[in-house]
Amino acid sequence: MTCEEFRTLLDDDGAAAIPAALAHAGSCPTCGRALERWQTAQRELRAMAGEPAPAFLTARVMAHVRSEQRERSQAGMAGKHWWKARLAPALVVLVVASLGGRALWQALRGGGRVQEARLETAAADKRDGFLLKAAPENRATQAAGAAPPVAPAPSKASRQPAAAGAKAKRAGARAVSADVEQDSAPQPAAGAATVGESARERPSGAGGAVGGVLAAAPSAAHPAATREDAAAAPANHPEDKGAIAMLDAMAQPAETSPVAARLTTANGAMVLVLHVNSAAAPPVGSHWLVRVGADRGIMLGDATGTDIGALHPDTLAGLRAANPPPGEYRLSR
Amino acid sequence: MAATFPYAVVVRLPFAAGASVPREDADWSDVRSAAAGDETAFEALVRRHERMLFNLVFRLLGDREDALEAVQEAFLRAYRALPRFRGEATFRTWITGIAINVCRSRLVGAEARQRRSTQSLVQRDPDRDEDVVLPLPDPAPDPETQARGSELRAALERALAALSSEHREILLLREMNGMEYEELAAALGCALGTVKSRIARARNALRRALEGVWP
Repeated sequence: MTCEEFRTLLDDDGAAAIPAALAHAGSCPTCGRALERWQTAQRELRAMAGEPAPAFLTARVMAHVRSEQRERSQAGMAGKHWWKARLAPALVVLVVASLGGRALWQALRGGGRVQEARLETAAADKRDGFLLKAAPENRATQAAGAAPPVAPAPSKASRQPAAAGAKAKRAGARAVSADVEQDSAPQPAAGAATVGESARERPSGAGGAVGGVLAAAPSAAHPAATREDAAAAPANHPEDKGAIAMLDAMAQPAETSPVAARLTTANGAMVLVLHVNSAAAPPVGSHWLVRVGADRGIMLGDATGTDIGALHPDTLAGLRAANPPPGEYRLSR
Repeated sequence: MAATFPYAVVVRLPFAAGASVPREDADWSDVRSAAAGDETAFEALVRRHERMLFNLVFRLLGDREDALEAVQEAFLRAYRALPRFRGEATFRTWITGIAINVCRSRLVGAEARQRRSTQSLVQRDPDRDEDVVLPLPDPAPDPETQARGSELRAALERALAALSSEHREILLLREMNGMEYEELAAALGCALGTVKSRIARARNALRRALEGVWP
């Protein structure tokens, strides 16, 4: 066998199996070395196959698979229930408009009542031939059956506690039907003053109501003018609860755009990427802490470590699906 | 010099329609479950084949991060195509074919071309009108290679990196992953005769490359 024939056999992977080729390799140092080199290369190549894949590869793949699965099912839902998707905004508009309309109506009625009370007071003044000592703008208050006005209330009626507001509402209601009986039936001064202030600040009673619930809230019917006011007030005014929820909803537009949240180790090495809705990801520029226990239990905390897992079940579910190994991580956008 | 590819890169379906009986191996039940939407079954498939696939793709692309993305992409493509997989070949062969296609697409991409600068050792010298063997690049081994503590391994990896992608992929599939000729033909989408001749040429190229770095 010639060296050329031996090398052809070597390239066909048959050199080691043919006795004549082996005999040639034994007698020719160059071909013997070539055979040895090739067999070592084969062993090394097979050993390469046994090298472990990087950690988290499965987790990364499955995170993408699950994310795609979610997107697919969401797309499927959107396709199936397109009418729901279109109906939802219309319903929201309808609800907001009706609430706003109601508030407007109540505000108008409230303002009307105060005006009515003022007229009645003036008529009574004329009839009885005396003027009340109180300032004219407070006569309505007094007509509502209140004690003489106290020190001016804070500029916003809502600064009064809700209980006072409720009393004011009652006082306002009485003013409609009450005759001028300012000396009898002691009424809470603060509440009465509140009505007076409200009426003075919004003579038409409608100014605050224009623009829906947010603007309607400070009306006589809604003692809470702002979200802080509503939240600060004791929850004994049923309309405040609705106002709080509505103000919250309006202040925080729903975030549903998908974002990539990166799970990194303490030294910044990226572990995996979670595709979640923006509401389920940490705010931009901030991060959350993720702790994975030996039992693969996952704790989701804010930047200070406070457990926020209950607030973000989607994030937790995504992390569980990704199944990172035990350790401490940071989740950020 | 940019990498040269002596073959047309075509995205081929690893298996043409028309074949027949599913090959019921250890993966088959997981394949069926995963095709029906069972993510756990697909995860089992990923775990079973990620090592084989990563080692192949890493050597084909030469970049760890690129390889991670390519393996991820290959599995995702497989997941999407699972409902159409009828088992004409094993899942292993099928996913290997997908990974090869992903690697080919990446290698022809401009980004990959910039990142890599491999060239065939055997080049045509236009002045002398003959083939010349270029000197091997001798980059300092990266820390991982050093950690392996194997000069032989480092030399082999350098020699592999210097091969054309066509030769590298068939050698790795045959010698590293131990695929049979029929499996190679299925995974690479070419005829059995082509596989045999390509393997012989690839071995020859590797032997010649090794002679320079591995006395």
